[in-house]
Amino acid sequence: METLLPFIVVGISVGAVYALSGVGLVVLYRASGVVNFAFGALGGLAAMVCWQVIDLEYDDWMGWVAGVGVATLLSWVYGRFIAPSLTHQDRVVRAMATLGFALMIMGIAQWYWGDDPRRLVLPTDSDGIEFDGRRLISHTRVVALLFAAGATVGMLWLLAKTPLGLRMRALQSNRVLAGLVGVRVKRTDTWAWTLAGLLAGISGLFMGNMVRLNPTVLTFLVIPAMAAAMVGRMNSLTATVVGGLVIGVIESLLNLVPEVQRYGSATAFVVAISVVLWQQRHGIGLSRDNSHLE
Amino acid sequence: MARNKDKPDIPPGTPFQRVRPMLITFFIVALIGPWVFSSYWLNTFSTVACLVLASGTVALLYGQLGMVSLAQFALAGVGGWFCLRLVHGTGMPFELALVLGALIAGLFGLILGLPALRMRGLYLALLTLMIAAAVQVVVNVIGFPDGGPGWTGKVVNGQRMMIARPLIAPTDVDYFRYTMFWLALGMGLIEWARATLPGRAWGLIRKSEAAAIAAGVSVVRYKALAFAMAGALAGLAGGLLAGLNGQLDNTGFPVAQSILLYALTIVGGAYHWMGAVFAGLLIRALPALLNDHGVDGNLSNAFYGFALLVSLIQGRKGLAGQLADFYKFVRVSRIVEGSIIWGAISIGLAIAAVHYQAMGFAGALFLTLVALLFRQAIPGVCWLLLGFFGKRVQDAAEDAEAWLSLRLANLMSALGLMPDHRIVKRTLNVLFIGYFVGYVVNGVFDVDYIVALTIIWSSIAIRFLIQLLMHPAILPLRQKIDAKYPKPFAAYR
Amino acid sequence: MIEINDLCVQFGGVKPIDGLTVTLNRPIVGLIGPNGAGKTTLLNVLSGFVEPRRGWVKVNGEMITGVPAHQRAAFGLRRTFQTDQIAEDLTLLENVQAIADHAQFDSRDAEKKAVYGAIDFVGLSHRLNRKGDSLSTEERHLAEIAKALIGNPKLVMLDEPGAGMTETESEHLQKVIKGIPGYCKAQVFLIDHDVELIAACCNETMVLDFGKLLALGPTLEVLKKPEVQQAYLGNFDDLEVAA
Repeated sequence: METLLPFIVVGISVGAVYALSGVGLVVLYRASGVVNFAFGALGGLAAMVCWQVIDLEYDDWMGWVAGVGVATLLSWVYGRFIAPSLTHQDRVVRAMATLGFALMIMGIAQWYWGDDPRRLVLPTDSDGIEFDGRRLISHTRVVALLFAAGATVGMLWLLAKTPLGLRMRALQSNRVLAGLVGVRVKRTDTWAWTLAGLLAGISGLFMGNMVRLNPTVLTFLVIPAMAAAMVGRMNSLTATVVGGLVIGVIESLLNLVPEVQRYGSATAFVVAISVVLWQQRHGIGLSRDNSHLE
Repeated sequence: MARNKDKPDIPPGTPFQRVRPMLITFFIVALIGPWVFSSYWLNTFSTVACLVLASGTVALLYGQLGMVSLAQFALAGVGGWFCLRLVHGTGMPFELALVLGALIAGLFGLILGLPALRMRGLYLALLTLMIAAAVQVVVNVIGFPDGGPGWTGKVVNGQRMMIARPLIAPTDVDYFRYTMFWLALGMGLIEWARATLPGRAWGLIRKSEAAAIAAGVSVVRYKALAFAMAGALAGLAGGLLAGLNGQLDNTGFPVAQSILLYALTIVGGAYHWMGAVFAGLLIRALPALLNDHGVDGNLSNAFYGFALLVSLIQGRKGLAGQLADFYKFVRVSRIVEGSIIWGAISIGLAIAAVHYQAMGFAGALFLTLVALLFRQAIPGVCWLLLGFFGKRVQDAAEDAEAWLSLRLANLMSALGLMPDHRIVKRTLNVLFIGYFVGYVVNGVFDVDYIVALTIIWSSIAIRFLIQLLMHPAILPLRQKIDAKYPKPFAAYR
Repeated sequence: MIEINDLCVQFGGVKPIDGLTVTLNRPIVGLIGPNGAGKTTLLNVLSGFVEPRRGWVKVNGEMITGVPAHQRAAFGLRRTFQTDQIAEDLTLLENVQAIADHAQFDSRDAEKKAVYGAIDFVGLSHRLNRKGDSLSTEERHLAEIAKALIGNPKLVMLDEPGAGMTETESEHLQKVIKGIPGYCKAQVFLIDHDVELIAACCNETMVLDFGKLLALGPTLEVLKKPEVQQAYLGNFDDLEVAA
């Protein structure tokens, strides 16, 4: 068991990355019904902008603000100007539209910054948690985990206890009815997208530090994040966090088994597929409005 | 729109009639392609053909059943993998390995489809995304078979082997036609299914699964059929790619390609076979063209994202859908007239080109025909593209153009000429066609830019002149022909 | 003939149908009641999309409860839906043919006759080749009914077929509905809010209120009952009724 412990700890810290982005995805989904494929792309852009600002000899904190700010701004622009043209279409179309948005951001970022190896250094990198004299995880990862937890709690509180959260939940439940009873749809939506952008930006900074500072790689990190979100059935924030952590731990533990070690990066996907299949094991039934099966 | 209630609706026709235009188009391309293109471009277009088939499978699932599959290119990888493995492992003829690989991929598609039966579209999209990502990892680890031992068939140290081209298609030219044959077969199968019982069942299911069930349609069976077909044909495309290059690269089937395949199928149009053709061209031919001119591939990705976004906002019928709408208004008199006049102009200009040693006969012929085709079949192509930027931009541009055109038309009639109220649109269109076609031709065929522009614009100018001279004497003749033969493509889907 | 015995449906804390026991054997039976009375739920039970908590249903003596939804069409049950289910890019003919594809026929000719016959019966022969998205509301509702008449139905359940129709269109609909038992020897179960339609077509009518049977009997009698009027109707003194 003792030999497993370091792997588990590392696994939890890796999983925190997935959990953090997963939370961002689920929050936006719960508030707007949209699965945001652009989450990773926005995060990647935030990380690149942050690096660029620091590279131009500005203060670190200015880089963070710039990075997160850009992500939040772009997400606000999308929510304010583009998403409204799509509200009458079904969820799949709206999700695919964010895919288009992601490709745009990724394409431009990758073109501008290219594949040069870079590193995003955060002040918490220098220290870490020791185990047996070896450094296991940097403080950055601990902060990421704490941030994931904090974001989850914060979002849960927002959704459950604030008027804005109530409006968001109303929109998610029945958009048309919510509008009819007076919920300001556009404004609430825009808030949801802005918050999602904020979360994406911050996650992006952490990812850029912990994974790799490359726009394409960061864009596609949205896929394991979706895996975590799928574990949470796109609904439960706690299940998403747990899912992300579990994925991280399993991925880390697989390093102990040489035969399957190289397949480790597929962990998230396999876990998501298995969870979904398990969740769908019951039969088909008619939806509430008799229009489709679920 | 105003509808004449007494005119009978035109029936869609028998399944063969509906498949025929597509088959004829593919046949013509297969026939003429090698006469026109170099080996390099033929191989590119062979790849395009495979991508068209793969895109067709995406369109099958999305257009017929509203299901987003982000794993189709990954399934192509599966088909390609098994094709290579079978050829290396058993030495069986390429065709057999191709078909078996396709069947295995079809099986994968079926298995993939089983959880999909119980899922709403969004979850299916995410599930297929996970599968594509998993396939990418697996393929990265085990690579594609290249003559090595073990179940992966991968060579570790030593000479990697490639599979030979099929016996009946050893050269690039032959393989292009070979690929086009399989493309016609695959797409023909899809279109045939659409026109018969499966297509009707899919239509019912697409509209309402509950109603389909209540009517006794087995939703499970027809969704499974769609997934099996989509998987098998995608696998076929993968096998053809393997045969083209003799090998496949383990970085060749990333998730990004599956996502891009889906995105461009939507942009091209998921409800019409021409959409798949556009998608294939956009994924492969356009980046190749841009690369020749030094444009970064990432920018084309950004453009595709933008195009996807716009296509979805505007209503998802894609480029092909907008084109199909134009086709419905084609009249027989115009076809006859066009054939005679185009034939005359193109032959005339080709002879002139040879005489002045500017271009080869076939090339000049082809170029004139393309220019005239663009001018005729895609009126206002630049307006179509403006539509990418949204309805408001398009409307504003149209308003500005109308204002200017009216002023110019008044000026023309004041000068005693026949006023043309679309003069600005036509001029812009002509300029655009000139630059666009000239650019493509310059990049693909290394034709001198000035020569290309001259030929394009003179062909359009001559056409315009002929039209000016014929009018109004030609009108009664047109009416007679149209009365006898009603619109041939009115029921075109 | 529909026999319902002690039918009980429960969704969580809600009981849309509560201990319903009726036998309906007139050719055209109507079902009315305020919204939330359980009408569509009853239809869903009959067509197999909702499992009852208790009780059973028999149609023409055969036990229906327990038969999965996708097999009920083979038992002769047909239903239409409130939102129209006509596939947009298929023509009317293809839409109806799609139903015939999955029904049993003696020969290809019999199948063709059934398809063209059903379309002709509802009066849409002039719209055979029109695409679904170009049909008017009335035509779509009629097409739905034509689909329901394919393949020897025993029970045709119509869920608000007259929604959105004008008076003239409604008259045509009345003729169609009244002709169904004669056309294909099926019983008709009609749910609608249009009392005029119910009164004109239905031999007997059932009234549901909060999941319980409020009244059952010849239409005119039922409509005149004070409890029905109080729950649902208002006053209908002069009305053309079926026998």
